[in-house]
Amino acid sequence: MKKDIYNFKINSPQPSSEDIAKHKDFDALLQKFQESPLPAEEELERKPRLVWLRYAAAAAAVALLIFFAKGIWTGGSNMTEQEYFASQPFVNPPLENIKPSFASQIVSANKGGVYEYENGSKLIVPAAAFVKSNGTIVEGDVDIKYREMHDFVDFFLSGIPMTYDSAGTQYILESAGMVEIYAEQDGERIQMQPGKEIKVELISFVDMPRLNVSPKYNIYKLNTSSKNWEYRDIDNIQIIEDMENEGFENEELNNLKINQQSTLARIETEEATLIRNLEASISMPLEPARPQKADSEQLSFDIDISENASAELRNLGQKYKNIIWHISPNSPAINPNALRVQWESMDLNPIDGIDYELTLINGNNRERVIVTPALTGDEFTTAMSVYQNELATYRKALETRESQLAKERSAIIERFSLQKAEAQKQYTSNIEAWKKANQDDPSINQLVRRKVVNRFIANEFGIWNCDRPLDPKDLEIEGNFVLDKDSKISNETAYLVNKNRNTIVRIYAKDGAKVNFDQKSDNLMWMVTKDNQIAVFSPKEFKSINQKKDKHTFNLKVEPNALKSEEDVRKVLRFKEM
Amino acid sequence: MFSNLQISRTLAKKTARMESSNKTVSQEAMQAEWQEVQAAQRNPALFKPLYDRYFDPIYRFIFKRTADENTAADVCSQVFLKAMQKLHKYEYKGVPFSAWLYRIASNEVAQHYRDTQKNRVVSVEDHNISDLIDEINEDGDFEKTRNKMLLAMNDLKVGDLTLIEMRFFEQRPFKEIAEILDITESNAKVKTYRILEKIKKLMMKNG
Repeated sequence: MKKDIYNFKINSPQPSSEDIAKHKDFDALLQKFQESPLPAEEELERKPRLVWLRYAAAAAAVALLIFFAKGIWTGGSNMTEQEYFASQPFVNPPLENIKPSFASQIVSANKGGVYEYENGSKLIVPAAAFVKSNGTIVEGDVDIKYREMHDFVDFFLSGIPMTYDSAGTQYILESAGMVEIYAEQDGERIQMQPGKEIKVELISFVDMPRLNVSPKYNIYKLNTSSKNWEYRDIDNIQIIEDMENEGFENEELNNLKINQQSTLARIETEEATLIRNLEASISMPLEPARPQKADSEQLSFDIDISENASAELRNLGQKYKNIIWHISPNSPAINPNALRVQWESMDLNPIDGIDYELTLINGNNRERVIVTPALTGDEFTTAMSVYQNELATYRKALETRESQLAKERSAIIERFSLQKAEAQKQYTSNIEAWKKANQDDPSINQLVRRKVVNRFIANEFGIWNCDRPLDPKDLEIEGNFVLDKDSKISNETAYLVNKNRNTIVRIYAKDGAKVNFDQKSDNLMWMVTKDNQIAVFSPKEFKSINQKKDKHTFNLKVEPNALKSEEDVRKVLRFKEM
Repeated sequence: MFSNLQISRTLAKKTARMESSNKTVSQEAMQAEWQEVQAAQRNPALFKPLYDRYFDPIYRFIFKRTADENTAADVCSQVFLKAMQKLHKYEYKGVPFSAWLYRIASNEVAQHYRDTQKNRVVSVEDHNISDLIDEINEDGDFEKTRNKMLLAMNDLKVGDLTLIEMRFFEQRPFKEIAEILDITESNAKVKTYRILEKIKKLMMKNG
C-alpha cells in the first residue's frame, strides 16, 4: 500500500488572534537572542551537499578538486548523465584559450540613453539605473559590456547549457538569440537598481516556415544559483521584412501583406505625431552658454560697447569690463586687408547667445565677422561660477520636463503597442485562414531564414535567451565512443547539433550512453580532446548509422589544426561534407 | 509547450479575487519598513515593531502546516530568533521584508518535519478545494472529487505542493508567492499551471 506523505487536515479550526497573542513575548525573545550564540554559518536554503563539504577531511577536499577538474574522471562510469553534468561547472566553456569578446559602451549612468550595436541591436538604458554593491546609486560613466550568441558554435564556445527543467521534464531550448550583459565602473562590477529595466532589442535570424508570420518564442534568464533557466516573459518577436515578397507571390497574400504594412505605417505615424506634439507642449529649457577664456594667441577685437548698443550688449558690458572678442570658428574667413582699414563704424548683434555678428562699416564697404566674447582673470572665474549654477538649474529643468513628459509618453507608446499587436493578430489570423484554404501548396512549410527583432526587458544583468522549449521524440541508440579508431573515450562531454534546430545538446559520452538524434536531418557530433583539439563525427557518418540496430560505435576523427580563435572552430564545425 | 499563454486564460478569472487582498506592499511601505529593519540591525531591541507586525501572520502560516498550537508556538519563536540572528545580513532588494520571514518560516517547518519524521500537515478548507477543482475542470460529487484530488496531491513533491498550498489554500497573489520562493512571478504562474496539469493526470491515472 502506498505510503501517505502528507497529513491533510480538512476544515480544521484555526486559532483566533487572541489565542495567537498568548504566545507573543518580545521580551523573552530578546533575552533569548542576547543569550544565544550565533548559529553556525548556514545558507537560508539548506543544501545537504554543503554540510558534507564542511565536514570533509583534507583528502576528500583533494578528491573534490579532481572531481571538478576537466578531463577524464577515473571512477565514474556508473554516474548518470545528470550526476556527470552536476559535477561540472554549470557554465563550462570547453576551450579555455578562446575567450568571448564583449562589445563595450560607455554610458552616462545619470542620463541613460539608447545604445546601438553594429548589427542594429539596441539597449535602452534608463537614467539612474545602477547601484554599487553597497546599494548606493552609481553616478558618472559606466562601461556596459554586451555580447550576443546566435548559433551552435556560439552556444558551444560559451559553455552555457541549453536544457530547461520544468516541473520534472527536461526540454531542449531552441534559441532565437542569446545575450549576456553586465556593467563595470572603474573595473568593479555594478548591479542594476531594483525596479529599473534595460529594454533590449536583439536582432537575429530565425529559420521558419515560409508563411510563419508570428513565430513564438519566450524569454528565459539563466539562474546560476538554481542552475536552471527561468521563464520570464513572452518574446515580443517581430519579423523585419527584408525579403519583401518572399512567400507572398500570390496576389491575395500580397494584398493582405500590403494592407498590414499600411495599417502599421498609419499607426506609427499617428504615434510619432502625438509624441512630437507632446514634446512640443513643454518647451526645452535653454542651455546656458559656457564662458570662454581669453586666448592671447587668437586674433581678437577690443570693442567699446556704447550706450546706443542693444540691451543685451549693454548688460554684457556692465557685467564684464574686460571682454575680448575672438574670431569664432563659425566665422567666414576674414580678409587680411580689413585689418589695415580705418573703419568708420561697426555693428554688433547677437546670433545665438554664444556668437555675435560684427559688421565693420566704412562707407559702402562692409566686412562681416562672427565673433565670440572671451574673459580673462577674475571675470572668467566669476563667469564660470555663474555658469555652473545656471547649468545645475538647466539640468534640473531638463529632469522636471522629462518627468512631466514620461508618464504621458509611456501611455501613448502603450496605447499604440496594443493597436499594433491587435493589427498583427488580425493579420496572423488572415494568413492562417489562407493557409488552411490552400493546404496543398507545398511551399507553405518550406523553411526560410528571416531577420527578426526580439524585444524584451532585462531587469538584471546576466544571460538572457530568446527560446522555445522542444521535447523532440528522436531516434535513440546506445553509443560507445572511439577516437581515430584507436583509443576508447569514456566520461567525456560530447556535443550534438541538428542542422534544423538552433540549439546544442550535450551528451555524457560513456559506454552505453543514450544518444538521441533526428535521423531525417543532418547531424554533427564532436568532442574536445585533452590536447584542446576537436574530434568530429560528421553528418555523412550519421547517415550511415544502421538504424535497425540499437547500438553504434561513434568513431570521432581528430581535426589536426590548432584552435586559436572562434574562426578556427567554425572551420572545423560545419555541415559541409568532411 | 506554449502553456504560458494558457495560464493567463485559465487563472485570470481567479486573479481578480485573489489579487484584491491586502497582500501586495507599496514601494513606500517597503522603504519605510527598510528603515525599521536598519534600525533593528543597529539595535536589536528595535526589532519589536517588526515582531509585532508579523507574529500573527507567521504563526498562522506555521499553524496551517503543523495543526498544533504548541508546535506552532515553538517553531514561530524559532523563526523570529533566527530572523534576529541573521538580520545583520538582510539587504533590501525591492521585496517586502515579510517574504524573507516567510522563507525562514518555511525552512523551520521543513526542519521540524526532518527532526520529528512525521508527515507534513497540509490544512485545506472545502471552499479552497472547490476553487482547485474548478481550475482543473472536474465535475461530479464534491466529496469524492476532493478525496480523489487529495490522493493525487499525495504524489506531489513538497515544492510543488507548497505552490498549490500558497496559491489555492492561502489565496496568496503570484507576486507574493514569487517573493517568498525567490522566483519570478511569471515562473510562479508557469509552475502552478504545470502542477495543475500534473494533478489532473494523476487523478485520471488513479481512476
